[in-house]
Amino acid sequence: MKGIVFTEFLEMVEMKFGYEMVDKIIEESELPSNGIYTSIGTYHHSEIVQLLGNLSTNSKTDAQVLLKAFGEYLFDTFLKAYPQFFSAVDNPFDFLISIDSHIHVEVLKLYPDATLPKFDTQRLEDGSLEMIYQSERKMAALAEGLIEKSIAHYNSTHIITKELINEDGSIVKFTIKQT
Amino acid sequence: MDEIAIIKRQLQREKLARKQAESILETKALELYKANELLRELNQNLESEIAIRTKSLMESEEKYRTVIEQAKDIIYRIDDEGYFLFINKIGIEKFGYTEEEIIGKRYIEFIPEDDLEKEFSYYTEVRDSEVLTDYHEFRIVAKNGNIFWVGQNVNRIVDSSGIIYFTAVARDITQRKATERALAKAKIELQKSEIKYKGILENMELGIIEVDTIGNILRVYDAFNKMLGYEGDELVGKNANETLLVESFEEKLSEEDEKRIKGQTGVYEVKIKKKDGSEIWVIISGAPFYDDKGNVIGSIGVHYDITDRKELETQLEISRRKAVKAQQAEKAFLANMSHEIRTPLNAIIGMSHLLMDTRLDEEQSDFIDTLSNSASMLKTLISDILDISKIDAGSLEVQNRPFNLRLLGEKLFKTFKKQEREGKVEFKYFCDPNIHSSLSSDPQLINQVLINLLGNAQKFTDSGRIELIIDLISENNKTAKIRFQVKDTGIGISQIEANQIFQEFKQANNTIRTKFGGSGLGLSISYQLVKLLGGKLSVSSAEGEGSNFIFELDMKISEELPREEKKISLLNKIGTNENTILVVEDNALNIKYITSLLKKWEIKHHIAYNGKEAYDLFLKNEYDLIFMDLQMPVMGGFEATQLIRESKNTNARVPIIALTASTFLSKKRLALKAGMTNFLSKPFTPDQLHEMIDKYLNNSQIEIISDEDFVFSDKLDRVYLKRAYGNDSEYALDMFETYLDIIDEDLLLIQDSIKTNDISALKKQLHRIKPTFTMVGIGEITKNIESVEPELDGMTTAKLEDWFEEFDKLTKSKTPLIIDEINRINTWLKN
Repeated sequence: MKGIVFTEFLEMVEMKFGYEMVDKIIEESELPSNGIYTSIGTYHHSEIVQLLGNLSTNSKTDAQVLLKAFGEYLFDTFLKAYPQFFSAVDNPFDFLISIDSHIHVEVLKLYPDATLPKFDTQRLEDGSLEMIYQSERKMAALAEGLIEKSIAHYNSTHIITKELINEDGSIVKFTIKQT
Repeated sequence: MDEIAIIKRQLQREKLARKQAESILETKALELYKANELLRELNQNLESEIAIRTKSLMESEEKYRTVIEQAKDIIYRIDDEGYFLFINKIGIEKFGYTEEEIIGKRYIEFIPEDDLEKEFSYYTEVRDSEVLTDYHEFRIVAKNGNIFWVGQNVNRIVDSSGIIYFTAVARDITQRKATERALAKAKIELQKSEIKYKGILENMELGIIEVDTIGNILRVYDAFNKMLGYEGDELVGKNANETLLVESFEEKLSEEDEKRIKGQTGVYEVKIKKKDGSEIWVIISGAPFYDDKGNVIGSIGVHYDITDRKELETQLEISRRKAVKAQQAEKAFLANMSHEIRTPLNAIIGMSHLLMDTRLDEEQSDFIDTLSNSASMLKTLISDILDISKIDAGSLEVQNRPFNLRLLGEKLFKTFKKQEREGKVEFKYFCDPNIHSSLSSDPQLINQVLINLLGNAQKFTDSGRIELIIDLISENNKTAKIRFQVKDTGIGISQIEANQIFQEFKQANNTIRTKFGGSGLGLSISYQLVKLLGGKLSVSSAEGEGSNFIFELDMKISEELPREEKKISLLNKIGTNENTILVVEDNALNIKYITSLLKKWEIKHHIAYNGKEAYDLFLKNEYDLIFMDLQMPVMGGFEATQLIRESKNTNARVPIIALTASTFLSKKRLALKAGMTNFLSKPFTPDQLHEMIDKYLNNSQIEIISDEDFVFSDKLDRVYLKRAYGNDSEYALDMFETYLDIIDEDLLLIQDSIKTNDISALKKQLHRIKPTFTMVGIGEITKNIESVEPELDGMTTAKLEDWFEEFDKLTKSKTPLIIDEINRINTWLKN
């Protein structure tokens, strides 16, 4: 998993819970990296699972809620770091479609070793967009946060419905309907 | 405390993260640098690659343009409607237009009017058929009106935008077309000529076949079929020799076949069989023929039916043999005439000689002389006629013996002197005293010539002189050149006539014949005889002033004394009382002549009147010498001689002397062949008879062999015999006797083979018998066989029969020799 996910995750924890919480979840986890992350490195994704699990325990907050919040947080980071991706289109659907067809293609050029989730998108007849998340990381909540923030970014209002295609959460279908 | 620890850990984490990030960045930067470098390099390569490609493309384009421009072939491009888009330099030259005049024009504008329809349909077909490439030959009109042929390869090309056009490469093939036309024309001519010659050959009645190297027939021409009664290809595949050849010619043909394989031609005559089995004679001209590599692969035989010619040849041969027989009959007639006339004449001459030995007064002696000379002259005249035929037949014998020329002339002079009539014509004789007393030539012939010339002079001279002049022209120690002249003061002849008088039956002119008579042979004979003696008789004459006949002869100077000077007394006794001679003669006068002489010489003798009596007497008495006439009633001399020679009598080899009136050499040869020892020509003088008796009675004792070893007869090949038998005379005897046992039967076998025309049997027989002759010392017969052997195949039956006749005669003539030799060996063995 790309280092930016870890550094941004720990930034968010420090910002919301203070560095003591960061130190706590690192110390409590058994991390091959010893909790030392840089945005351009690559680390095993089990580390984020452990860190998320320990944060959930210590903050007495649901892990999925935390993960969705992290998605919302991450959107701002992306917007700041890669504004060109967002300015290329003018509506949330085009942007969401471009994640898989354009943004991830570019990411892979830069980081050929990156393991990225797959987003199959399809415009439906009623004008809504169907977006199927597919990843062994099972972090659809993170995606949900990102989707919501994206729609908000383009000042649109949408109803997002979420449906598990696979029970374990490895395939999740989002239907985004403009209101 | 806790806070400090946390901050410391935080710091520591931040520091480590930074270092990690730096390290990653460092690696990334390096990778980036390398990637950048690689990219730059690739870019650079790409540029130079592009430069090279561009350059080579340009070069290639340039090259192709040059090729197209310099090509010897016309290259052009037209669109799908046939309008010219491009044409190269050579094309422009060939068309004779400028480039501008061609580009944009349609192809049909360059096609001759006659070809327009054809070429248009061709073009349309190619365009519509979507054929990618095609070859086509057509004609083009150049600007100057010349028409030339091109052979064109056209490619149909569709470019990326779907436009169709044609690219063509065309070559001027006018020359080739012309050659093709010439060839086609030549081919037609050749066919015509082939048909023509085939026609000629078929009409020429020449039968032609082609055979391979082993004689199998490959092709038969109609005329050949017609010649032999075959049809179509009936003969093809059959072996020519087996099917067609008459067996006895097989060997001949195999010789020819060998020649053919060696590449030689040949013309030969053989008999071949027709389909119906009948046989025809053909002349074959055979020539080999060859394959591309020059190997003989067969031969062509041209056959011409010569059956008619062969029949004619046979007829001619029969006629020839008839003619030869007639000629022989004529000869026999002449010989008989000679015999009939000479025999009584002989008696007259002989008697006059005897008379001379009686006591006569001078007048009587003179008469006898004249009688004798006249008889001699008569004999000479009779001889003339015979001489001519002898000269013609080339059978005149020129002798070479010593004689006294001066005496010869003197004798003649005396004879003619006595004929002087009442002193009107005077005979004169001059002989150069320096002429050697013994010269060698044929005195009889010289005598005859001079008699003729003197007689001739006498005939045409009424008054004046006749001179015989013998001069010595030159002399060295070996030869003398003598000139003879017979001069007269007679009527003479003109120069024109002088040119004719030496021809047979030509006298100076016709009045001569009526006035003077004569056969007209005399001068012709003289001329021929002088020629035989090695001189040339000529005449110088003027009408009314007489003639001068002249000839010159070269004569050898002889060391031997002439016979005439040997003073043989006719009264001399010869031999002893023990010698007995048998005289075999049917003519009473001759018997009297010979017996008178023998009585005078006191030689014991018996008389037999024919061959039969002679043989009977021979068996009862032991004779030392036999004189044998040839032509006698009951049994002739040849047969009697053969009987004597073949008898088992110890005296079978007694010398037998033939008495013959014939002067023909052939007769003499026959006598010798029959086993006679020698011959004496009638009429003979007492001298000649005496000489003969002297020779055989006095020398006969020497015949007895005194050597230690047996000496073979010199009439046989004694060198070979000596080598073959050495001292083993018994072995030789055995061989000689065996030869006698087998020879007659062998000859019969050979004769049979010839009669049945069985050449192969004949060959075998000849081959078997061949060495037999050598073994008995008559190798000449072996040689005779060897000389005829290679000819046998080509000889006709008639020729073979002729040969056999000679061969048989030759072989049989040797039989007495063999018998003699057997007797001699027996005698020697007994002693």
